Parts: sequence; C-alpha cells; structure tokens
Amino acid sequence: MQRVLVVEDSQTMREWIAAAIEELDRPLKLDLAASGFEALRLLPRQVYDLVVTDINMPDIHGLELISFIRSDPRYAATPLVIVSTESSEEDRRRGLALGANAYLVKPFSVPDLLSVVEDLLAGVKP
Amino acid sequence: MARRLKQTATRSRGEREFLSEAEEILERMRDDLGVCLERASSGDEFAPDVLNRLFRSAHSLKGLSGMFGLEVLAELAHKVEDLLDAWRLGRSQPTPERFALLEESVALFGRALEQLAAGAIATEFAAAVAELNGRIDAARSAPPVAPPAAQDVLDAPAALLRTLTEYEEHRLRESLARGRGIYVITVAFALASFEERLSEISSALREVGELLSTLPSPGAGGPGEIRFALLAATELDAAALAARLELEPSAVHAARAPRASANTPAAAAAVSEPTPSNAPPQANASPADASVAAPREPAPAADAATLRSVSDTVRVDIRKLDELMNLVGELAIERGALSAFARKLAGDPASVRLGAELEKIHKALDRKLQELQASVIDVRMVPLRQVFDKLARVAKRLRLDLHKDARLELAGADTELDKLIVEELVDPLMHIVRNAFDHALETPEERAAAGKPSEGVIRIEATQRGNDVVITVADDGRGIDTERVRAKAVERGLIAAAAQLSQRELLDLVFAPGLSTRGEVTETSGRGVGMDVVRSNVAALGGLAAIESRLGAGTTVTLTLPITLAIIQALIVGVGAERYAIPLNSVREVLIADPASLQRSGSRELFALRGDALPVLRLRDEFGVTSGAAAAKPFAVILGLGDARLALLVDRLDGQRDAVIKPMQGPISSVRGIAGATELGEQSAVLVLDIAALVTSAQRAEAA
Amino acid sequence: MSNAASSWDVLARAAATREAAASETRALRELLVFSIDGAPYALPIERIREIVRPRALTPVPHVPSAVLGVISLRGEILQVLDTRRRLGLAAVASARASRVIVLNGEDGRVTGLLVDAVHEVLRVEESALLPPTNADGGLITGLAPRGAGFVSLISPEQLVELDASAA
Repeated sequence: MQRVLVVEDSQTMREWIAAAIEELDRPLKLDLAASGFEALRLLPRQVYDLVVTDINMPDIHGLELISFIRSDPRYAATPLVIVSTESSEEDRRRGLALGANAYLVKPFSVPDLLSVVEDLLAGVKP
Repeated sequence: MARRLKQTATRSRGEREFLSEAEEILERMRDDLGVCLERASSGDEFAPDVLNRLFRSAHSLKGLSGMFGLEVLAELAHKVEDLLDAWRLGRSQPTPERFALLEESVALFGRALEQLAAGAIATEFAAAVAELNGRIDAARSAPPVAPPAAQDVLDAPAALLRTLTEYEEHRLRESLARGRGIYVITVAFALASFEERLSEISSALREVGELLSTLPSPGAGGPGEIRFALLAATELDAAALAARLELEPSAVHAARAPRASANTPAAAAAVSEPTPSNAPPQANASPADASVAAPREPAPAADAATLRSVSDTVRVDIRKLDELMNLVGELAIERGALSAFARKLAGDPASVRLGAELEKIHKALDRKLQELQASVIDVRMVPLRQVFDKLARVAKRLRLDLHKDARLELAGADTELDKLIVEELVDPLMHIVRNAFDHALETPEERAAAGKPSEGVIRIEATQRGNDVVITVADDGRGIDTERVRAKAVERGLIAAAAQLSQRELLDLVFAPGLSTRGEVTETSGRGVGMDVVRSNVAALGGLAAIESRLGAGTTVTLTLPITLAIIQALIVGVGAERYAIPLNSVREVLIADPASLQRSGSRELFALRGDALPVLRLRDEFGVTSGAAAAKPFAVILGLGDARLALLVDRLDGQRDAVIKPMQGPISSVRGIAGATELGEQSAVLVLDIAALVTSAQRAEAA
Repeated sequence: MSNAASSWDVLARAAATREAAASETRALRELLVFSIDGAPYALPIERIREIVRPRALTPVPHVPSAVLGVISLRGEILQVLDTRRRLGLAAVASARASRVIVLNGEDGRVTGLLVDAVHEVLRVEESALLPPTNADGGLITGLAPRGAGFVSLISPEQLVELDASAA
C-alpha cells in the first residue's frame, strides 16, 4: 500500500485534496498535516511515496519543507507536488529548483490534481 | 467575539466548511487590521509579521474562493493580496487612503459571506467589487525597482539562502540596510518537543530583532531528532545573542556582523528605542496620521545602553495580571478570616492576650497587603492616551467623509484607568464621537446662519475624581430638541402622550432602547444611535452615562467609571437572612432611616436628606426577600454615581470587606441589579449589587 | 463552473465519511447514572466536571424558579439548578445523599445540578439506546437498558436551557 502525505493549513483545502486523492482507484494510506511542523513530525516516522504540500503556511513554508525532505536520503526520489495560489513566477521557479516534481496553481480541478498524482504514483514501485 | 454566520440547513456541507473557514480568516484579518491601526496611531510602522499574516490571509481567501468557483470573491481577495504584497515587500507604503480601501474590502468580503450563507451572493455584488477594485488599482503606485540581491555578502549556508521566499529575501535586505547583524543559529531538538523550543527561541528573537527563516534538516542523532538552521537579524553581537537565547556561543554564527556605529549621532538616538525594527517615524509626524515612514537610515547600536533598555521593561500578558490580581484578592479574603479569628480570641477572657497579639500581627499584614494590592492595581493602569489617539484618527476620517469643519480637543490623556476598562471604553466613546460628528454638529452654512464660528468643536476631557474617572464629550452643535425626543418617545410607545417629564428626564430618554434606530436618527437631530448600547456598555463596567444639552448651544455626554474592576472594598449589608455586597466607591454615606425622613409621594417613596429628596429603593422588596422581619428603623445607604443618588434601605450593616467580583456561571447570564458574586471566606457566595443598574432603574421608575 | 460544482461535492463526501468514522469510535457511550424521586436518569460522562456535596446556597433574585441559587466552589460562583423541577416534579427538601453534579457547558459556562443521589457509571452500546417514549420538551433524548429496566438519558443542553423570562 502506498502512503501519501498532504500538508495544507486550510482545513477546507486539506479535506478537498484528501477527498480527491481518495477517489483514485488505488489502495492508499493518506496522512494529513495541518502545518509544516506537523509534517516535520510525521515525515521521519515512515517513508511516504508522495508528498503534496502547500507553500504558504504560518510556521515553516513549503520551500523549507521540500528542502528538508530532499536532504533526507530516504526521500531522495520521492515525488513532491506543490499546490499553491502563488502567482509569483519567482517562487514557482524556486520550488522546482529545490526538487519539486510538479507545481499546481489553485484553482485546479479534481482531474488536474488526479492526473498529476496518478502519474507520479505510477512511477513509484508500490 | 467571533461573529458566526447563520447557516441554513439547505447549504451543502462543503459550502458550510468553506464559509466557516473563510469567516475565520476574515476575523483574523479584522484583528490584524486593528493591530495595524493601533500602531499607526502611536506613530509606529506596521509590524512586518502582522503585514505578512494579513497577506497570507488574503492569499488563503483567494485560493479558497477560487477553488469553489466564487470568481468575484477570488478577484477581490486577489486585489487585496496585491496591495498587501506590495507593502510587505516594501514596494509601496501604506497610506490612510489605501488602508481605508483595505478595511472596505474586508467589510465587503464579510457581506458577501453573509449573503452566501443566506443563499447566494447578490448579482449587484460584482459591480461593487469591480468598483472597489478600480479604486484599489488607482491607489496603487508603480513598483520601484528591487534593490540588488544581498546574498553575496552573507556568510551563510547556500541551502538556507536557496529556500528563502521573495518576502523573506526582502526582510533580509531590509535588515541589512538597517545595519543589523545577520546570524545563522543552529539547534537540534527532540522530535517530540521541537515546537515548544522553537517558539521560545522565536519569541525571544522577536524582542531583539527578527526571525527571517526556519530551515529544518534531519538530525544527526537519529530519527528522534531534528535540526534547524535559523536565519535571524538583530543589532546584538553574536555573544549577546547567544546569551539572550540561552544557547552555547558556538550555536550562533555571524553571517554578517552588525554595522558598528558607536560614535554616530544616530546611535545615540537608538538608545531610547528598545526595538529598532519598529522605530517610529519622524517626531513631527502627526499621531493621527496613519501613513508609515519609509525605512530610515540605519541606526544600530549594539552597545550596553541598547541592551539595558531592552531588559528594563517586560511585557506582561494581561491574563497573568488578572491571575495575580485574583491571588491578591484571595489573600485579602484569607486575611479577613484571620481578623475574624483574632477578634474571636480577643473576645474570650481565656485568650484575650493572644487575641490582641494576633490582631497586631494582622494589622501589620494588612498594611503590607494593601501596599501589594495598590502596586498590582498600579501595574494594570494605563493612560487613556491610546483611546484618545484612536478617537483623533476617527475624527480625522469623519471630517473628510462628512465634510464638516470641526476640531477635536483632547484633555487629560494622562488620566489612568484599568487596562480592561480602557479597552472596553473604545466602542462607547467611538459611538459618542461619531454621533457628535454625524448628527450634533451643523454644516458650516447652518453654523454661519446661527452666528457660530464655522468650525465646530468637540472636546473630550478626562479627570480623576476620587475612585472614579469622569470623561466628558462636549460639542457646540445644535443640541437636542427635547420636544422632538418626546414626540418620538410617544410614537414609539416609550412614554404616555400625557406624561409629565422634566427636561432632564426627557434627555435621559435618549438612552432608552428603541428610541431611535439607525437611519431615522437624523430627523430627530438627536444622538439616538446606539446610545442605549453606550449606557449598557458603561454600566457593565460599573459606570454611569449621563447627558446634558441646550438647544442651539450643544450637548455633553458624561461617563463616570471606576478606576479598577478587580478588587473592591465592599460594604456588606443584610436583608432578612441574606447578605449583599455594595462597592464602597459608590457609597456616599450611611444613615439610620428615621421613619420621619421617609415619605410617600404617589407610587414612589422619598428620603429627605438635608433638604434634598432622594428616590428610595427597599432592597427587601426589590429582591423579594421574605425571610426575617423588616427592620423598624432600616439603614439608608446613600449611593451615588455621577450626579445621580439613591437611598437604598437595608435591615443591617455587616461591616466592610475586600471582595473580588466574579461572574455567576450558569444558564442565566445576567440578572437585573446584580453585578456578580464574591466569596467572603466562609465558602458561601455573596451577591454584589450592580449600583449603576439600581440607580438607573430608580431614576427610570421616577421618570415613568 | 463544473470544477466548482465538483469541489463542493468532493468536500461534502469527505465530511460524510469523516462523520461516519467519528460515530464509529463513539459507539460506546459512558453515562453517569443518578436518581430523582427514585427513578434513574443519566448524563454523558464527558460533560461532567465533578460531583460535590451540596453547600450553602445563596438565593438570586429575578431568576426562574428552577435556579436554586449560587454556590461558591473554590472561588468560582456557579448557578445550581433544581433538576427535579426541570423534570416537572414537585420540589422536596434535599436529602442526605443529595449531590451537586457540576456540568461543563458547551459554551464553557459551568452549571451545578442538584440531584437526589449519584450512582454508577454505565457503559452502553450506542445501538442499544432506545428513542424516548414521548416528547417531553426534548429533555429526555433516549432510554438506556439497565438491569431489568431503563435509564432516561437527559440532554445537557436542554437541561440548562431556561426561559429567562419565567421568573
């Protein structure tokens, strides 16, 4: 079973992303983190096969979280998806430079999200 | 208190979740805007972290609205986000005009959510948003070119600099421009407790500078550990910073030392500024001006004087003071028990000497306790200045909005009151000043016709009188036409058409609920809007609101407030088997009520006091006490609040005690005539009388 | 727009799933059983802060008759309700076994409830609860089996919902 971590401080968005991913026809274990700090506590405990994270969060932001994930050898190849309302091209560039695999700009649709997630998960050995 | 949206059952669950989160974010924005206003009023720059939080709130609203297909709202949030982005990145400066646009946007967004909760957003809403967006665009200035990147001068790990967002990079540049030192702090914590440790460090950093970035990395000590590299800016040197954060000196690495400037004049100026990141703008800037100074030339001073001024004052959470106050109060109650025991000992011949000794010890304890109490109360006292500044700002805006030529005069800004009272006073005073501008002051033409100077004057004055603070708001406007008040009151069924009312009683009707409602008040030329709310807010603080007016000459509203709420000296009185506590500051005198001095007058009763006739309230009747027999010669406790007086008749006097007023918890949230309850050391509750309510109700009974 | 419509749906489905999961974990209810006039009643244990002996009551004027008065509990001042009267029964003098159940309100306000005696904590499967036999103002929300008989489950919200005008 593949494990997915969703990091998003907005509860509505978090539920929405989780619900959308659960619609995938795939056995998945989904963990939800409401802040960057919460993600930091979850990440070392188990290895996730995919991380979906927001950029704008109050404690540590998505770029810092991605840098953390990529500095852990276990997560060297784990697919990372940034979901953000960020319109700044600069932040998008930085996110991808830090090793994010995809950058989705809100608003996106369920199919938008699922096609990205599906592709990335398919590339990972279950 | 957070205003909850009405949620109808027909809404889908998803929509309800969206609504409640959006409302939460909006509430946070309102709070943060309030914080900004407060800072602007004292001439401070907006705090960068508050601006950034505002930006993030707008950003979240944009994202949420977009996801749920509410394009109009997403667009509005987007404009607000842009405006805030420019401020937090230093690309444009907040001005009162732009700030007002921000407030307007938040209000508009709130209305949209209300409409959404009730059904759907009205179609004309899009037009309102478009109009506002247009004004926001017009108010925005062109972004200046960003200064060159500053990272090359820093001796910091590349990983740390790579993850900086645009905002963090801006804050870094800003700190460099101010000559602050830039430090990389390396710490490792247990996974289970890192959040607390980090928040300790970041709040300590906030006092001496700014935390720019927090970069986590896996700990060297295994999966139970996590490391952080923190990028911080401060004027302290590395050793002082390490000491301040209680870290080993090796944990703090200077990426760039603070600019040394011990001999420049700017350094001397910085001595009086404990937190240079929030340095006030030039001294000649008007306190009411909400604009914010551009970043000043660097004025760093990492010398001993700066360090000392940082450590001389501490910020204390008001809740901690409440706790302290409660403890002092409870101590005072224990003291009461000690005194009672000493008297008991002294009353027994076998232990009379011991009793006298104990009484002496008790007296000494009592003196110290009173000093302690006085200094705790003193810590809670704040000058009215902050409220006055806020009023000046509102007045300035009203003057522009209403095209009225008027001057606000303020006196007694140094008068001190309990912080909690000061906070609760903002709304009532704002109301009164708004009303004065809106309704009481005439237009310049009307004033000229009446032979008055074209500029109207609203004067707010605060003075301390004994244990009370009296605040008056006086205008030289048109005054209140009591005949129109009477007509309105009759129309609303508040008084009978034939009621005989004195001028004063008619004026007091202005405070009656339901005399005038929004939108109609202009015709009455009165000050009806929410004056009932003003009176009840002030009464909740144990104070009194009164009004005087002369037609054509002006109106004065007087608020009388106790200096502090926390501990009161109380007179304990008895009625039948019951005891009640009366705040001593409203007791003028206590007399034995000779039956000859009591006299009926129609349905009322009067008490003759040195030629004056006071209204009488028999507590036994008022509270329906049935136990015991009414005393033949009751005590008359003469209560006074402001100018109003009342003779309260009780059976017994049970002495004077310290009391901490506590709210009554339970299903009934407020009881007429009761301010709360207190415990007097015998594990039994004693009700504390609400003097303002009793005095007001006696006056009303008289007017009826 | 189809994107937005599906957004709402996705969220609604998520909420429904979450609620189902929550009710699964809540399947076992813990109830505090007490008696009034010899009949057993119960309140959800998670709403009860503590149980104390009755102490000196201070009457309060201008309140509904169901409010017996206030007590001081370690410096806190709590209103105490006559549970007997709230259930529509005649008032009697309190007995030696009487207790005050201190109830945590949803809004954070705390209320004391005077009852004749407090008994055990009862664990009941949610599925074993029966609906109330008749509508009595919504005060009794269900029946839980206990021995050969039943315990009447009281709604804490309804119990402290007083009509302030009924002084």
